[in-house]
Amino acid sequence: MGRVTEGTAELRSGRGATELTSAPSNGTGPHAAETAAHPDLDQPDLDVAAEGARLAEAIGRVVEGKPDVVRLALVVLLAEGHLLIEDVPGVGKTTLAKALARTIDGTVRRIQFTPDLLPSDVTGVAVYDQESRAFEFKPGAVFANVVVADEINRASPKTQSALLECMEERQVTVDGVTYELARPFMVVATQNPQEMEGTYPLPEAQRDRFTARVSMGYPDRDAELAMLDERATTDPLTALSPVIDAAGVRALVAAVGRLHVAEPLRRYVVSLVEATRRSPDLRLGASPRAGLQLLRAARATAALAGRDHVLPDDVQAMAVPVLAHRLLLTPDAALARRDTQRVVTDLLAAVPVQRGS
Amino acid sequence: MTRPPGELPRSTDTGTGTALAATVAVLLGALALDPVFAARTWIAPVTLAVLAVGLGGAALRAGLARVVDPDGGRLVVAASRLLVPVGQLALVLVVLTVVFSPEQALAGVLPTPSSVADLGGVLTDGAAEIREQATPALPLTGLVALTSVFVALVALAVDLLAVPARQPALGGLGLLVLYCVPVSTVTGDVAFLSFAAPAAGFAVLLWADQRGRLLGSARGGSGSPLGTGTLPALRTGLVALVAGVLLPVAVPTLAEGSLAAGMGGAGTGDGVGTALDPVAEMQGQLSLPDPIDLLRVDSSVEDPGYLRAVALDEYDGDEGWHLSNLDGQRSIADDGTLAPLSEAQASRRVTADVTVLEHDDRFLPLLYSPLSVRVQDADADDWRFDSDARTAFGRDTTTADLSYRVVAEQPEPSVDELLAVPQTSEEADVQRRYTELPELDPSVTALADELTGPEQTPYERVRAILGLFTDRANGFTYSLSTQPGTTGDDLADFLRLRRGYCEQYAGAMAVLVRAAGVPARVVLGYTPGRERGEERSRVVTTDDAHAWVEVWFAGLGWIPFDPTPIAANRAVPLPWAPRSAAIADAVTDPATPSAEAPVPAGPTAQLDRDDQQVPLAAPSDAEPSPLLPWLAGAGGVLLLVALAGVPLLARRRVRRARLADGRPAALWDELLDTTTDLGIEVAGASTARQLARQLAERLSGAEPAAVAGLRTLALAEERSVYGPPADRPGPDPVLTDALGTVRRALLRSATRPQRLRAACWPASTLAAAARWVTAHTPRPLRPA
Repeated sequence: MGRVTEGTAELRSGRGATELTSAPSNGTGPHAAETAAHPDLDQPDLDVAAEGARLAEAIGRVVEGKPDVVRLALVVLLAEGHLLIEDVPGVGKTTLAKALARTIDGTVRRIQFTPDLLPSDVTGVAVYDQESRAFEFKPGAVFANVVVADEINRASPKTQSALLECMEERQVTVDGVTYELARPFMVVATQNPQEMEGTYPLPEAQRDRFTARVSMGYPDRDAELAMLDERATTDPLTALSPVIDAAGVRALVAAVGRLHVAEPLRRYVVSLVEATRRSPDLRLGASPRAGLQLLRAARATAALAGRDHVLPDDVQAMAVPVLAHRLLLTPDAALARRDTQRVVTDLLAAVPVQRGS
Repeated sequence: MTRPPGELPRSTDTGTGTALAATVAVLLGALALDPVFAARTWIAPVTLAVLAVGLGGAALRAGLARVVDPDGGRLVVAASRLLVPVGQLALVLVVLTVVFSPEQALAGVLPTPSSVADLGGVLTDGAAEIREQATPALPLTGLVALTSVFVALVALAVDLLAVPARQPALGGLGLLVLYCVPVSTVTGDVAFLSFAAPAAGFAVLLWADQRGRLLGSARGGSGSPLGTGTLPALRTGLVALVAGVLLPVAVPTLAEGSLAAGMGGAGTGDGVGTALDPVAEMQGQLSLPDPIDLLRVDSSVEDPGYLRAVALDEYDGDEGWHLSNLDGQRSIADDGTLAPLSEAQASRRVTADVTVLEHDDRFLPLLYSPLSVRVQDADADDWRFDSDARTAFGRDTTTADLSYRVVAEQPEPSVDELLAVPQTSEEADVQRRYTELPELDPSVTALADELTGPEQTPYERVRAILGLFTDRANGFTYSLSTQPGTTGDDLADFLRLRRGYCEQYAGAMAVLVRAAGVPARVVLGYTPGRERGEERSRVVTTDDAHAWVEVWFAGLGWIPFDPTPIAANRAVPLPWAPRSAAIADAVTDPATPSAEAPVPAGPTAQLDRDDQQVPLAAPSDAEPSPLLPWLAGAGGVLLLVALAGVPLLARRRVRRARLADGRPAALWDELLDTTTDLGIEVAGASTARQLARQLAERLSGAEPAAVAGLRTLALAEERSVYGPPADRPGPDPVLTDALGTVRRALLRSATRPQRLRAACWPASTLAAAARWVTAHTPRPLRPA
């Protein structure tokens, strides 16, 4: 961890200053400068921040003007989670998913979810081979490092469950035989808002499997102008080449797991999760799994910021994307037109940060 | 639907809720003044004044918040803030004008110069009334006006503390001031209301305080804002209430005094006790000031007798004897005799020239029974005469610097004449009016029945009752204070414990006489004083103030009786009411000529010395000591100052300990407390770098060194709490220096009032105390 500590020392004198005085870090700016410092992935002393910056920069070339969304996607990747992208059609959900997949030099599969998609299309199926006179397993779409599940809420609940089971267990069982999925394994699902026609909204139990939900939002005016300009002729996706391989991602994930999490911070996570369960606005609070994934996401955030320890700020930054989609409003709160993001934001403002013991 | 973060509007809350809470609190606090007044007519004007301050302030703030652009420059904002208290004062002026001088005002509402002058006159009268009256005071116009101004100022102070300064709990000091008025002016125990009402008001303030804090920490938080923090506030209020009950046990109570002492010296120092308090209580305590010369009486005889000032004709069990309404129809200048005696009655004519020295009262001390009064160099029409009460009183004037001549026809009834007076018929006005009593304690009624019987003539009954007090065998002793009793009835206590001064003697006798079916009332006035220098020239001092009894005999009128065992040199010989002689002797021995009946001076004086155990400079009534209340007041102020210094000292200690500790966490605590002290609003859920960013924005530009220091402190705090154990920073002089830099920069960035408050009344210490209380109060399990 020598390098990481060094990086932190730098934070104290140099980058910390930028972070505190400038507006909240936009994910690419402060870290881009260090990209060249540790280019070698195989080095045992891995600079997660630099690697993250390289990835973010690559994705950012395709998904323009959305550094926060890109950063969140990376956090989920490093937290070994799955990402749910929810928004109206045409704002770049699939582009983000594809761009993330392409920057990783691993296997990528894309499933377009339709009402007639079968569970076996997702998991794979054992077919009888006439020549060998045996059943042979034909792997489904989930056997890849990154699985892009497009418009997941248009498939039937049965198919949805098939995918969601794989997500949690990271394995597929067909005809009594268990097949391990690849590592890293990340599902990037896109979903139209639930009010759209012909959709099967994900039940809360299945939304709970996604580490984070993010909505793309419309690009700002400049980004949209630039997009119209550039993409008239070429698709930048085709120009995107991988910047990291699967082993590199595994190394990053391992490095994230080594981050120090202090006891007060764990207590802070628990009190936040508890607060969602006691909130008068919520019918369903966050599960223990939510707390686990919140802490993982916070670790990844801290690592991407170049720190060797997790801060409450990391937890707060991840609380809305990680918690909001798991919560259910009470009818009263829904009538009052509150939403779960707002409830989480309010809880963040109310739950005191734990300091000492 | 949702407001995106960052679009949250800047706090546009003008504190209407807090202002309303402060208003309610002050109204409750003002109820503490209840025992200071004899009637409740003061409440309406005071309430109006408080409402003008509270509601007017809230309305002004709300209006200004709409008109004034918060980004319109510091000067504009500051000016608009200043406008609010000015407007509140203007509203108070309007209210006072409407209530006290509407005649001169425009449309009865808008103050004009002449109405303001009028109001000034009323307030000046009020100042005089404060000096003259003792508690419970009559709610005279001037006094009520002055009280309204006083309470309105308290309300303004509380409002300023609660709304712009955002320290509603500190407004409790205003309530304390209100509470101090009855505590320092009312004789004896302060009624429960005086304590409970301000306590409830304080609870309201605490609720507002807590609500403000909780709203501040969870802005727009879940749940209704009204519900937020009600429970903690109630809890804190309850603890404060309990502390309030227990604290007075440990703190010496202030001695009672005149109203002037309690009103913070609104009167001049020499104004103590130059007037009579027209109340005779059945319990209490006297203090003996140095005597003040009140009147010089040059009379045509050597013994001009009592100088009678005012008759108290109403008795109620709680407050003793007091004055009913006086009839001001008649002026002393009107033709005719003021209080004629019947033709047949034995009497002597006395003329007296009275020169007022320090006396300053509404009631004119007159001889028995005045035929005419001529005031010199003053308008006689200002002095009215109530024939029933035989009381001359000033209308908008006092006796200050007055000289007047009284011609009186003093009744000298013989015992035989008195004995011959039959029982007055039940229908007679005098009989009905002057025998009226509330329900008495059974022991009192039993005593009256035991002493008297219906077969006796009225005079025999009166003598029997007088004998109860004057016969040494009965054990009545003169004392400067009554003994606290247990029956709950002051009169019954006095009759059982038999210790008191003239008010109790006169009051008790009058009640017993009424209970025996004979018309009676209590009279306040002066014993004739002592000859000084020239013959027949007497000086009456504050020591001569006295209370006695008048009994009505058909055909003879009001005849004085004096049950109090006062010193012989003060006593007025009343041949029909000898002091220590047994009733039987005087009544049954017709050989004793009534005119020679007075008891020899010797034994009486002896009795006084033996039993009174008071100095020969005999006690006066209703004249409080000038020194004691002041001393007590000064002690109280010192105590308050000392108490106020406690948070300051505690804060310093904590600060020193943290600097000596030097670890990042301790230094960070110190930084947090500094922001609290300066009133910088920090969300309770802020992380270190959020706070550092917030403070850096506050200091941005002007203080680069402090911004760097903030960063250093925040990073050290973060690492020390959340960093890997091996890598945690320890005490570091760099950090201590950084804290110093940041602290100085924060102080520089604060306004002067904020700095002053931080130095004198550190909010962090109070918050820590509140946390401690909350942590040590058992709380019910409940959802957050």
